[in-house]
Amino acid sequence: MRAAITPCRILLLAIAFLSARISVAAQSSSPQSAELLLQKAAKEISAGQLGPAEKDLQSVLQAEPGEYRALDLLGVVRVLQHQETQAEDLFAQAVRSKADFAPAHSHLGLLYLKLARTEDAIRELREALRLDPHRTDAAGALIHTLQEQAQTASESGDWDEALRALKDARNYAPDDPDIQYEFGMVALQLSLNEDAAEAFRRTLKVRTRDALAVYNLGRAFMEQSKFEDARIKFADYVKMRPNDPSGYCALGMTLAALERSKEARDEFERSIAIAPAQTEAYYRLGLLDLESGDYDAARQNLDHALDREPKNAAALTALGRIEFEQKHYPEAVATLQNAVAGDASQREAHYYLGLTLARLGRKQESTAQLDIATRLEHEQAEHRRTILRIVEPGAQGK
Amino acid sequence: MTKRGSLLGRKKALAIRAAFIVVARAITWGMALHGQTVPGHFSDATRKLGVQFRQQASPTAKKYLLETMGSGVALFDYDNDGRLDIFLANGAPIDDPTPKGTIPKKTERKYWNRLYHQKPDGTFEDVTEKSGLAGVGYSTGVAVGDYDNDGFDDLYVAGYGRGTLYHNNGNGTFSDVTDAAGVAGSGWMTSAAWVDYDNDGRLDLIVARYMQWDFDDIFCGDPQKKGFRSYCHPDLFKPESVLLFHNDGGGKFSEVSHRAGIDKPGKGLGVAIADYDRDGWMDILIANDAMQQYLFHNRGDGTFEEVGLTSGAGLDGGGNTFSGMGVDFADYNNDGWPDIIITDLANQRFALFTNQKDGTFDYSSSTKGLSGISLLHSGWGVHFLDYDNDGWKDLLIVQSHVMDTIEISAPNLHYREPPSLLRNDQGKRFENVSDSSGDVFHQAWAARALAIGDIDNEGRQDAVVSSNDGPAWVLLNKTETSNHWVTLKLVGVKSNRDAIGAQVRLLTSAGEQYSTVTTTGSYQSSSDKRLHFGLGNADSIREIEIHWPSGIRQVLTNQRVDAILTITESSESSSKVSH
Repeated sequence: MRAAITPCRILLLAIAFLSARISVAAQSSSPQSAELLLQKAAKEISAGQLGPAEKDLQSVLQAEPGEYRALDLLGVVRVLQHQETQAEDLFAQAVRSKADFAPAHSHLGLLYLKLARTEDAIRELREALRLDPHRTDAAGALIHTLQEQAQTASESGDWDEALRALKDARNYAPDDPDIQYEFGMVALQLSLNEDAAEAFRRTLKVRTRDALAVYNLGRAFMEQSKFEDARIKFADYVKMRPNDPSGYCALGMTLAALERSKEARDEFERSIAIAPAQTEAYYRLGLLDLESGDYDAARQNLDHALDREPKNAAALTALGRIEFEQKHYPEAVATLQNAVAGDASQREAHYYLGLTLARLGRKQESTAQLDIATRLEHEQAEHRRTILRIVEPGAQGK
Repeated sequence: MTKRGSLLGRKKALAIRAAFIVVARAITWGMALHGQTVPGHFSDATRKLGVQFRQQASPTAKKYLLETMGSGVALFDYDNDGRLDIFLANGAPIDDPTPKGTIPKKTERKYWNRLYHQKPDGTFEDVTEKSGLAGVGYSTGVAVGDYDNDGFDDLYVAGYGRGTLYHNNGNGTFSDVTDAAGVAGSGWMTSAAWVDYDNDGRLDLIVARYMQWDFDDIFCGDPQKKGFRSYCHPDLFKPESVLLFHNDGGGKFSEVSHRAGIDKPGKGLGVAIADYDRDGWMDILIANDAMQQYLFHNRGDGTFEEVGLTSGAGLDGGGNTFSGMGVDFADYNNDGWPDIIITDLANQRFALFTNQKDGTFDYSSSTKGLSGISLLHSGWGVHFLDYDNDGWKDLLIVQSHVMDTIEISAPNLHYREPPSLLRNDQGKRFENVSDSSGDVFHQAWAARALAIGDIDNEGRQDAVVSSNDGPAWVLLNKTETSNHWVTLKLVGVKSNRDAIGAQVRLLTSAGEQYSTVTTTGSYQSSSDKRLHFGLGNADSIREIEIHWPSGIRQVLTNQRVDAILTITESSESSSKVSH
């Protein structure tokens, strides 16, 4: 997430912006006292001279009580004087006086942000941008707010809400690489892999050397089974960050998926050389050995992983598979039960536990485990169905 | 003392002799099998043989799923002249758009199913009109079997909305007996199989159904991008059950799917049969698309138990579902127990399940080399066949992605793909020999169906392939090898006449091989019912042991090689064999 921007700071920037606008208006039209006073007041506000500014604004309002620009600027003065209630009232008066006056909506939105009235703020900022799409103060504040909403939602696990907020933010700043990146990360969480890939691509359009975007684009490709594309991205990543062991591990995973086992093994070993204390690369090496039928080597690598992380459910599952393949069924049951105890969502562990129990003639227990594996698979299928609906609007009954 | 010593001495002598036999067999196998890899040579003889066929898929802008699934092919000898004939199923027009509930009908000759009769000179003539096999609807799968045991093979043609049973009249014509037989079925029928599941001597009929699908206008793909409309994923549709029709005799069938416990809803595309637990009852495997594969174990009392998951043949090695399409069920490692191969989509890896001889299977795709070979391929029709007659069943697979737009979303994958020929290295590993096996393995096809059989009776297994919205190909196996072979045509007497379900063990100096008589397997196709065995350098057959579905065990000894032997069911082991 980007650095925090306070509403007050934005407000000051807004004043400067407004001051410039008034200046331009003053220069381009015939000089009138009200215009000059407004211009002077704006400059005074920018300089922190709130007393003189108020005096000038009050004289404009005396002459013309509904002068919306004066009401708006006086609202700004009240904000800076921490008189928020009065400020809200003045901004509201300005809006009533001229409903299409974007600065007042923007300032009201910023005030609401200060008062933590987020929904009101978003409403006013949206209105300001509808009236004037070039308002950077409103755009910056709105985008920031939506990003914060996304972050809060992410932290509470509400990924759909996070995605919605970021999608909204993206509409206001389609070229913002931060927003694209954040959108990509949330989309990855939701397995909206095509959307994630597109978002990371857009990030990289602006920040071509963004290593994390490259890495996560690789992840998105992996999730789409675009293994060759993923391999290219991870290869790029390890060039950018040659000392990061996770890059080699990810590259190894794509090579393993491409059935290029020897090269995959080399990458996992590179990863281990950089970070010998890790578990992942050992686990991946163990899987390679398991798939090739070299159970002794697989066991050795998985033991390395489990020495460091004894409850690693994935490694336990792989070890259980070795016992299963070697027909050591009681040992397989014990190991797979440990895997399931460590992570009940390990579908493969439930599956192999079910298979093993079936081979031991423990039909009822086997069925129970296979049912869990099937349920987890169904949940994934249902998730895929949901994704199909999200990615393809109108997929049903169009 | 002397007597005892003598007995021990005899036992020891026998043991030594047995050990020598084992060693000798191993050496002989070694001689036959450790030689250089023989590349295949399959030659496209389609035009030369006079087969001109084009499957009409009727593609639409709506991308109705039916239009990408292809139609089947059958290799069978309908007129008993000893030469295989070819039946090719065909589609029907599909309007764009088509109203929901429509059952497409053939309107013009181009949509006809075709029967090609093989003439004595090996070329084919189109006898569709005379035979009465032109068909009516959108035809999908084909199954050949002599359901009335009259000696002439009949034909079941599955279809969308309705299947058709054609009775072979024995005079070159067929009669549509569907309604009288009660086997029209319903829904989207795909592959079909003839099998005598209750061993009563009459062939029963299994028909796989894909899913609950209709001509709804469902948009799948990416609406933002032009050309990104694609065929919908099966996850969007509900599964549909298999149909099992029990042959009651007298040309009548009863639909017994529920009673037999085989009506578990699936998304069936492929069907294969084998007695995987060697209990004497034929079991049924259904290749399901994007869900668990089904293995229906025959309990022997007229009912089945679905054991796909518990047997280990339901999911891949990671416990994941995959898009099962084509299937074959045969013993690739010559251990006497039928194994399973199922083709699927690219990035899923073809699934090889090795029979563990205890009612279970191990997923062997990685250890047998299939994972690496199949990663980027989408397979449909698949068949074990011993292309080089070395005594090990190799694999022929026809391929194509299901999505004709796949290159847009996944440029590393292809809609049209060449077929693959995978050599079986003594049951240890499969090796891709496609590149060196002839031009046909370099031609990209939208292939779907595959049937195999020795078309020219030269002792090598040939193939016929049909494609989606494209031509069919007759591929003659011209592999150069001096290996011996034998083809067995079994004729049931007490068992069903086609001997479907008969299990054969063949023993030569090179070892044992096992096969089961069946016409089913692959994808929507029906292959030659004759059993073909490559014999390596063995120049005689020591023993042929047949377990007929009737329960009769028949053993023949000292049979000649390089011949087609006809064996009629008999309880006499010294029964007559005709050549």
